[in-house]
Amino acid sequence: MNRSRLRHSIGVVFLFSMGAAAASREPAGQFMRTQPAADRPVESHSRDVGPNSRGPDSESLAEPRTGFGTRGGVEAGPGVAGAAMGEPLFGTPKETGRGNTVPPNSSSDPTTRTPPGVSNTKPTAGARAQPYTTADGNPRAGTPASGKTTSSGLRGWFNGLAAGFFVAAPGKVSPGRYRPTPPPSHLSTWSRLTQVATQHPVISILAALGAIFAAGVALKAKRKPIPPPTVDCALVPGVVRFAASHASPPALHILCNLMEPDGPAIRMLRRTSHV
Amino acid sequence: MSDPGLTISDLLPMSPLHVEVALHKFFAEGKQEPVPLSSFFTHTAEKRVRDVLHIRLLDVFLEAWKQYRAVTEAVESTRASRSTAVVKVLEHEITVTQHPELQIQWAGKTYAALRLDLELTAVVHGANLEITAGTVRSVGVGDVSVRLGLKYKDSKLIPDWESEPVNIPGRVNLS
Repeated sequence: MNRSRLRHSIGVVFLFSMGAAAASREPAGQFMRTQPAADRPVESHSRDVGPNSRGPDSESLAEPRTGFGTRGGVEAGPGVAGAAMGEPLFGTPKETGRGNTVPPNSSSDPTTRTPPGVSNTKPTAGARAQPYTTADGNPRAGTPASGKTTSSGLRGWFNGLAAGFFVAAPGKVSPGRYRPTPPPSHLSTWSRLTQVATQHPVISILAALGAIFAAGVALKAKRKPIPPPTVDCALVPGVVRFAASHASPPALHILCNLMEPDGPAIRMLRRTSHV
Repeated sequence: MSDPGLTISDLLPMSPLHVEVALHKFFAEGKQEPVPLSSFFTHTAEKRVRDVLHIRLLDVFLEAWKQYRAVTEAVESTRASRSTAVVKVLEHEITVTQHPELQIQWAGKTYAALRLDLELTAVVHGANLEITAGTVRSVGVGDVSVRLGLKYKDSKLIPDWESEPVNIPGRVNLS
């Protein structure tokens, strides 16, 4: 591998790392335990919140889930439309569309470690979200009840990629704390499979490695090796010159005749001059 | 010079011809986008130059001798009568210039030709040409001294080289 290709490969890995880092700026669901800002809507992991929940946690009953891990992400907030926002993170058979609820004091959910009836997060002032229905009772656009859903494949892929990186990264979240999130029941089979698959750290890592490998293969296929230059040679004839160093034989002959005392040249000269 | 099949390429020195000097100068002029010059490339270019100069020396001499008036007259006279004439040429000097042109191609692009100048000067101490039916059939050559130079524009690629006078014994059949 030559230097340019090595630099290219390093660049591809760097770009993927940057993408993962950019994706990690969003809360990473159960893999991140970041404290959201007070003015931002937060997710309320209220799947075990029921009527018997106490105190402020009961507020989350009426709040659709927002934030990372839901399809709305942190952008979800009052007035923000979209099927993703407010969408429950956990689908249950009795999902009401107004938050993930389970029967009170239910501890049958194996995915949670919080005591029944206790929310594992505390809502903030900005955690208010729009209900799924408008004031006149019609489904709000973008809510699951409206029937309009958006695909979360790419976003989920990046989320999963970021989760994979964070799980693999030391000092963040240990892989043992990974708990897969059941996909919402209203999603299609493919979407549910995708969501589950992308949240699995091993699959995410494998997907990231596969993407890097595919990018490398694509770059290698795209960049054909340039053949070395070729050189050929042709001969252009030049000039051939002949230069006699001495007088030619006829000239010598004439000169010798002229020099003879009784030669023809001398005789001719005698006749013309009457010598 | 004992080999009658001696070529100009044989007269070139065994040392490198320094074609890379011409290549660097050629691309340094800025008229052409430079190509990666590897040692393999320059070696190949030098080999191409040697190959193209595989010209028999007596063929070059014969072309020069045909410029001599006595030889042209003998050729004309023997062509009609189909007789044989022998022409003696005393000491003379033959100057030959050849231009090996390197044609470079890279990445689908053909570059302008790089023309080298080879100048060969031979001092021939007499020659005897047998001309039959308008054709020089054989030649006997006396001592020959050769001076050779290869350059690109004003840059000499090899130092001027001059051989010692050598004798070519016997007659060499040219046809």
